[in-house]
Amino acid sequence: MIDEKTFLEQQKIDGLNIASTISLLIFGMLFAALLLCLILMRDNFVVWPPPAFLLLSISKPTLSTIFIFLSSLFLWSAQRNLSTPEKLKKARISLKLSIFLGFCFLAVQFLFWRELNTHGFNVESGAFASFLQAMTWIHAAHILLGLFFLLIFLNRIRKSRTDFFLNENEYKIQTIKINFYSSFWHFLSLVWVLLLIGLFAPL
Amino acid sequence: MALMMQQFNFFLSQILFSQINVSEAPSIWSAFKRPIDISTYGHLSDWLFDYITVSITISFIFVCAGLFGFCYYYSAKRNKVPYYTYGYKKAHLKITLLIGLVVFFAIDSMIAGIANKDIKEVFWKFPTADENPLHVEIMAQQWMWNFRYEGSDKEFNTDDDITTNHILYVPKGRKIEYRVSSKDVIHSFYIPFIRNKVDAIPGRVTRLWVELTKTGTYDIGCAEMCGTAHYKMGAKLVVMEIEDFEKWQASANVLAKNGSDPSTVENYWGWKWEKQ
Amino acid sequence: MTYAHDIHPAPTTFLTKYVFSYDHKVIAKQFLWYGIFFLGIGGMMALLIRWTLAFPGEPFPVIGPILFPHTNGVVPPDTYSMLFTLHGTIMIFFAITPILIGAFGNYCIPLMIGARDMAFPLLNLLSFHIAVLSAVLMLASLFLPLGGAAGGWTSYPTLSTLIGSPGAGQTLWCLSLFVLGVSSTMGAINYITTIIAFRAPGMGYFDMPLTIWGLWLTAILNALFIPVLGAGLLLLVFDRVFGTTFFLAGAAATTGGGDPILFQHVFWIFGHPEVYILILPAWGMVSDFLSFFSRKPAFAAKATALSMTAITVLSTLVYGHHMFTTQMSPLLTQTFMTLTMTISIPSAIFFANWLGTLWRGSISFDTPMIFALGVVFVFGLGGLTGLYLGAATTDFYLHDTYFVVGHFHYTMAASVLLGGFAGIYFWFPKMFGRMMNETLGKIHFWITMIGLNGVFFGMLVVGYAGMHRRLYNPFVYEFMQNLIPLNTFITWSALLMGFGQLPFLFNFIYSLWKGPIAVENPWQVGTLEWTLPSPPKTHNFDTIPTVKCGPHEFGNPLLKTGRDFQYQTEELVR
Repeated sequence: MIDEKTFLEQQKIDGLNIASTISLLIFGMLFAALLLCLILMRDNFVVWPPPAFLLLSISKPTLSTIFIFLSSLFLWSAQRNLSTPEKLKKARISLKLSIFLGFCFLAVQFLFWRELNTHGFNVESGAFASFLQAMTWIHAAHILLGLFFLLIFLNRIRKSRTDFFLNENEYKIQTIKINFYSSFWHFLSLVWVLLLIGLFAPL
Repeated sequence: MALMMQQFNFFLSQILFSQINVSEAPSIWSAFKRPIDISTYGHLSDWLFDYITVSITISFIFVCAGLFGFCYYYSAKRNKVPYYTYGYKKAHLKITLLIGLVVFFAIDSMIAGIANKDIKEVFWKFPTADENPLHVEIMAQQWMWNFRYEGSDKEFNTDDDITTNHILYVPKGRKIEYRVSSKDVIHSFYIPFIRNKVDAIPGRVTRLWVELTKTGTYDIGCAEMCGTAHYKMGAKLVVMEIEDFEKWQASANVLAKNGSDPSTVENYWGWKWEKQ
Repeated sequence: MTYAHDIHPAPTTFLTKYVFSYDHKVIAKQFLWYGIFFLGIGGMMALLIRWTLAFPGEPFPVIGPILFPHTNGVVPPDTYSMLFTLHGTIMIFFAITPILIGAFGNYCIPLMIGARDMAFPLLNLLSFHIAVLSAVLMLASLFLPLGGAAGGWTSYPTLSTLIGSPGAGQTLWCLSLFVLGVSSTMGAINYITTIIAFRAPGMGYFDMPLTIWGLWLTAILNALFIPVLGAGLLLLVFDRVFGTTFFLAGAAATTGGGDPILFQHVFWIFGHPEVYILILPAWGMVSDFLSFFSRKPAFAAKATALSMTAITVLSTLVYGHHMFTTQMSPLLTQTFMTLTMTISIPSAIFFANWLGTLWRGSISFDTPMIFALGVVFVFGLGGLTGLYLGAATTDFYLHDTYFVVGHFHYTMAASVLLGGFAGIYFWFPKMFGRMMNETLGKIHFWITMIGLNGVFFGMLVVGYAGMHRRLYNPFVYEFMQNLIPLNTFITWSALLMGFGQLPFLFNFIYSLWKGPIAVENPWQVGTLEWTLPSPPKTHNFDTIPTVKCGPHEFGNPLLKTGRDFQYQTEELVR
């Protein structure tokens, strides 16, 4: 006879850890496949990026990069401040900043797409523009999902929820979920960098 | 005895794949004949096929012997007490690993080695310039085949190219290199009688070479789904003796040249549209 | 204190019991009905295809005039293309996947590893209903003005872009499969997590039944490679809807850069693991059933589990053998060919282990067992024919002929189908508390076996005679005139196989209501689900069992309990 209570609770915690890893792998495979397409496509070209694209202003991609990096940074800070109720206050501020920067990232993306289309770098113009736009759309869709996750995170640690530290097991479970949401966000930052390299690193 | 051997041989030849293209009323067994081989390398493919067939037939006989034999001898009625094999006996692991390795080295490596050699030395060893291959360009489209020869100026994509569709005239005994592409969707240039095919891919040029050994008319098919009339997208390969082919080529050259010469009115027609 | 009712409270209303249930057993049954329904539709499509091939110009009996009023019941060419496209798509994604992975995965995993439910019951529920959404999208595509997808289940561009497939049918097809991919990856997360984290105490990985190994490896491949298909489908949808140029080339591409072969790479990076995804559960089940019905331990069970794992890994490296005729570089071609050959080694190993399990056993030929033996036969044949296709030079001849069709039907349709039926006959008592009829089961087996071998061996033969694929009327070609009789024979065998499913349907439905009540352990087998009542309670186990021995403890001469096997909860008698 085993102590079922602790056994089942431990199972739940182990399960959440494993599921987090697998989920990140799944998203990773999606972007790995897209990056593979990008790399295979690049091979077909003599010059990459096509010269016309050097006329593009890099201000918006740079701004997006800064936003997403800062967002990850603040998120990381929020993750580190979850151990005591006093630190939780700091965590809330960092998290709110992180979410705000995430929305800023999305806003810049929309402006970037509009700029591309008005300057003739629309998707019909060729493989480069197709990849540039389509990959950033897919990335942005996942950013939206990531923001949804971060909002759940914010909800978990909001001031009016005093039960965050109540039970050790509950705390462990909540932190695993929070770490998953955060890892997903950091993963998206990584994907963003890889995307930029894949698209703009010259052959 | 001799009669029995005769009957047995007849029986074998009916059942095993034979290369005789006998025209008779078709039966179910008529499908058991491979198309005749009209190329210099088709026999390599056939040989490898037969080698694989022999290997896997032997393997499958062993499998069936085990399967049916064990089911018979060890059915619950015959064998009431099963043999208890607990755990991971080293001997069992060794046997199974041995079987796996034997299979790999005796069968798979041989097959891969032969196929590798055939690709390098034959199928993808394209004819060099001094072998004077005939060049043919093939443009597949929905839903027909366009064939093009150089014409007297020995250059493709000029006014005097010989173009045909549906019928591909080729000489026997001379190497032919096809360069294949497609206008719209992926097709596949397939001649069962040479045991070869190559995909026709829009945006790419693929190659296939062959040297034919028999004259006659043979089917060409499209072996990649390409739309509604994919099933009708056949063509005919007309293999002629070299002299006949050169006669045809000469007359086709004349026609092609005339076809693009504005001074020969009957062959080159068309008029300027003028606005009323 | 036990937490028997802790996972989710027992449902009370009809909706929460049968429609929106968290219980893995209910979700498993939902997937089973879903899969059997689409098996019927896919099968009917196959019969329409075979009818057209054997009797061109003849209206299809009974339902022909209803389906095709404009041609008086004869299948038109465009519809024929849709039929073979959707036959493949439906059988793979809407029949095999839901039955083998959705139904058996959901049912067997928690019960066989000693858990009360899957790790994430809500995710499980969503997985089913998202699969229903996917089915709705796929079926809806059939009613569009320009019809459903018609470019083959492989949907190569540029045929599957707007050039080759105008209209919304192909787009809906892509979206439907993308949604199904979401459902499958949700399921995969659940299965992997449950198997790793929710095993009962004492159950090491090699104490798991091989069925669970099969389902686990399938879930891992699913998790890793469905997203790759998703990426490909997404790019194809973008080409169709937003005008991107990923796959556009040739005359249609007004600007440069699209590459149709890119899609083929992405598709087959998914596609090859996919065929192993479909067969792994069946392999696992057959490995277990051969042991159960021979009343002796599975021969070298650890080696079987490891071989299945090796095949799982190798399957990710061999996809290029689907693309030999696209003329990739010689190096790539040769590498893929050599790697493809290596898969023979683990396959031969666990095949030998199957025969080793039968050797010196005491075999009883109940219906699940004869189906499992059938799998050994058809998979042996089908797997061996793969060698012809792995060798590039023979593949140049056989690619896109009926030889390929015969090969993959032997390994997918025949093996997986027979394995699936074995599973249904085996777990029916546990699922529904009643036994299926043995005689009808045997009739079902023999008719299916005879029909199946007629169809697919016939296809191997016509393929070798040169008949290529996806032809509405092959007999416009002169060289195929002598193939007409065999094609007709294949169609008669297919019709026989189709009719052979009627005893099964009758048996299944009749036994649901009037079958003899099943005891707790009708097959006298020691895995954990047979320690529970048939059917088990909602929470499965009153107390979580402690596992003390492996799943194939049969015929131990030291046993004194009067039984010839040990339950996994009993200490191993040495």
